[in-house]
Amino acid sequence: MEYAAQQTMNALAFGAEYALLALGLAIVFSIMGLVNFAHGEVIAVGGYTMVAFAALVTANPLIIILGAVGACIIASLALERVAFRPVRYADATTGLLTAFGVSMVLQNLFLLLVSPRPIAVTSLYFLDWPMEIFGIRVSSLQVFESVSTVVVIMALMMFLRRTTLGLAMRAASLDFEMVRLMGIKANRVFAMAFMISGLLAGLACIFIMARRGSVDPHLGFNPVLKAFVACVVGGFGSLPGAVLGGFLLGAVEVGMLVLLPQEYGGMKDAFVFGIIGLVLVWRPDGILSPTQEKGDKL
Amino acid sequence: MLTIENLKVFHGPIEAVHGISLTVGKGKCVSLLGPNGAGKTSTISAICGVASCTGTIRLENVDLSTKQIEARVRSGISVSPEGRRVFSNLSVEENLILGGAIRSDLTEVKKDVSKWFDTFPILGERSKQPAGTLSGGEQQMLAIARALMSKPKILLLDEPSLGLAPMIVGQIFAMIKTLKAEGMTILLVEQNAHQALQLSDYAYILNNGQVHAEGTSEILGNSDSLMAELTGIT
Amino acid sequence: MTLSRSQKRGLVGATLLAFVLIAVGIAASWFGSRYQLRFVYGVYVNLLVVLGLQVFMGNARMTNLSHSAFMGIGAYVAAICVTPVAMKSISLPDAPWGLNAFELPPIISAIIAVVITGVLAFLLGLLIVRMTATGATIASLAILVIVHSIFLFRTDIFKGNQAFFGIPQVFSLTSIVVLSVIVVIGARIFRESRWGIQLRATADDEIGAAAMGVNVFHVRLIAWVLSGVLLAVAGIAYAFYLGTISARPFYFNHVFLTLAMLILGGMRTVTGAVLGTFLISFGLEVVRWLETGPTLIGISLPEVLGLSGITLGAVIVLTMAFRPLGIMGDREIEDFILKK
Repeated sequence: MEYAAQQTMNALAFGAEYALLALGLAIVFSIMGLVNFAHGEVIAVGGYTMVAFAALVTANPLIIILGAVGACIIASLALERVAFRPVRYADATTGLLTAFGVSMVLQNLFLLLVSPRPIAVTSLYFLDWPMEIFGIRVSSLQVFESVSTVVVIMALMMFLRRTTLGLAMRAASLDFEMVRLMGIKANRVFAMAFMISGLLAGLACIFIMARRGSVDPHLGFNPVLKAFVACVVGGFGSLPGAVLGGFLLGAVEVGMLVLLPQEYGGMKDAFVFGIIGLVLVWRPDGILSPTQEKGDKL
Repeated sequence: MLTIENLKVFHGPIEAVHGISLTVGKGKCVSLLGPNGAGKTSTISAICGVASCTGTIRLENVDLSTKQIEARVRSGISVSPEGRRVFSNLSVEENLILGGAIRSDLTEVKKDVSKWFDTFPILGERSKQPAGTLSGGEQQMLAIARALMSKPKILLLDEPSLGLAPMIVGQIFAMIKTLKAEGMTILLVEQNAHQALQLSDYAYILNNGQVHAEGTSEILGNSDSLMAELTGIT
Repeated sequence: MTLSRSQKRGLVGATLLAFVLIAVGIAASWFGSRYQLRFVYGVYVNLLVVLGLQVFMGNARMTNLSHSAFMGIGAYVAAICVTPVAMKSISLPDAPWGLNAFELPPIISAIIAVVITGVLAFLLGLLIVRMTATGATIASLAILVIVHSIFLFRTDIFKGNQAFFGIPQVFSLTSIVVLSVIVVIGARIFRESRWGIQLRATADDEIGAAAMGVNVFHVRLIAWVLSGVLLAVAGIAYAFYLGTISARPFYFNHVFLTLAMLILGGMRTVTGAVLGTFLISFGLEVVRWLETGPTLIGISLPEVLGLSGITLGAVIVLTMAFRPLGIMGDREIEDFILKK
């Protein structure tokens, strides 16, 4: 019973992280059709900022956290302004390739300017201690992660439903030109999307750093891959799909960990992908894919 | 209110409109008529800033040609575009709120939304429904209401009757008539020449990207040859 | 068989490119050191990959990210078939289904590899060609990751990241130059063929092309399978020269390297594919020499040095921003010589 509850917590925490990551991708994709593969590097920026802050500014963990999240937001906005604006209205292929190029440049910049070796980030260890909930032992980090993800998702929902800019972002995913014809500046919509994406990346960064304890140039690769898979499963471009995909991925991963006998442990990833593959065969566009408008409704 | 001089509109390398000029006086309703492909929608696109063009476009003596789409809307242009283009994933209410995006006072915007629900109870009934589930006529009502939410100086209506049943068309034109009566400046693009002429003070007939004829509704309406050309009925 | 005007021009262009490829090959074998020979071989392998990429991606205008996976499949199947039993009993002691108990001549192995990759491409293609461009790209990325995972985890068959060694090295620079000449001509023929033209029409306007009677899924599938076959050939050429392979080269780094080559040169034309491959391959060598870091064989992208990665990424980003159609754009090599 305790084991089951612990594993459920595990699945929840992993799912929450993947949902955060997937949302970061989905928000940008839903508006401009761009698969932002540089999202992982935004997370890495946060990690390196933590190192810098810890070494140069202060050891105060709160400030370090704020600094990391802030850095992620700034990095995300900078990417939009510098790298993605020229290809803003280009087709999806161009944007995707640009994102890949940016990702490569950033990864190698980290290599070149900082260090190819992992650098330790210890400031966040305090977040991780064993806790007891209803008599079940879990890690506090998992609790934080799950709770903050739920809070963030609810805040995002409120933003998208109650504010004009939020409405504009939802409308933009369907008809961007018409949003501009409402007088809403395209720049603001894009900037907001990337800002939210950066915020989500920053949050994910905190938890990744707290668990990993180090940052290296290729840190972003795995998270962005997981985010990508989650989005594919949930339906690329759909925000609820991203969340669903994230939690599903977390559940399947933990499920595989639990169900597979010890010897096959290394095969976990292959099985996860196999299940994902099956989901895609059943629903090639993802489970909650946004309906594609194929014609005019006249 | 709106002055256009020597407007040439381009779709890529193709010139769709070959240097037309037209005026819309304040409080007047002016129609842009003509068959399919005449260049009517291209003209509207050019005024909005969506299509590339040369020539002068002036709204109350403010030159619009250097402004981006969003800035033109802020200057007082608003459009109910061809095909209505309501935001189908947003609710009726959300569509209307977005229409008022350039206004700073959200409470006032919401008040106006309620007013529209009073004027058009059907929109009020469907206020929480996704706009994509509305019928064609309801979507057209929504598109016009949405365009008016920004309190524009001039309303551009692109083919409001397109694809609608005759009875609904009547309702839409009644709505436009009311707007005109309230003093709204309107530029109406229509294929339905008859109804459009009944509403308008002045009309331009476009063909092949050029102004073929222009005049007040009485003159045009009384010209049998023109009407035959426009409506295809001899 | 009468050839259309564009097909005749295509033959001229293909011949010109063939000359270039042969000339470079000859120059390398005469003047090149052993390291340089290996490097040039790698360039030609990448050329095969980029040509395979061009056949589908350049004509259908749908980004494909799975190409390195298909190359890997071709390489591994051929390697498993051709490696002598003695070698396999050491390197693949746990291989299931008696995979370590037989060996086949290189030609048969190559044919089997091509067939298996082709069939796989066909099955996957059935799903892919129905998707939208973005959907197909995402699916192709999924294929890349899944295939790579399978390589990594069925170590009993593939040896994962460890070297699968003992492949008889039956290819030489001559063989691959000949191969690439054939492929260049083939790619060009396809581009100007009925299917190629129909495919390019669907890229410009899918609905319009369908309205004109083009079976969109059909032509895309043809190109996709042809592409898969060419990629298998590239993989076989890779394995048969190096003698050892592992899972690592068939993943993201290689995908980007070859993608950058196609983009820079211009994905719509075969000339673009060739130009981009040579430019980036030789350009990167210069960059690496500038870094004066450890030298590596021409095929795997160095993962430690930063400058070449930055260069590659910058090439992609700048090309996309300023010249999305690549250097050649829509022009083939014969457009410079023949009148329009």
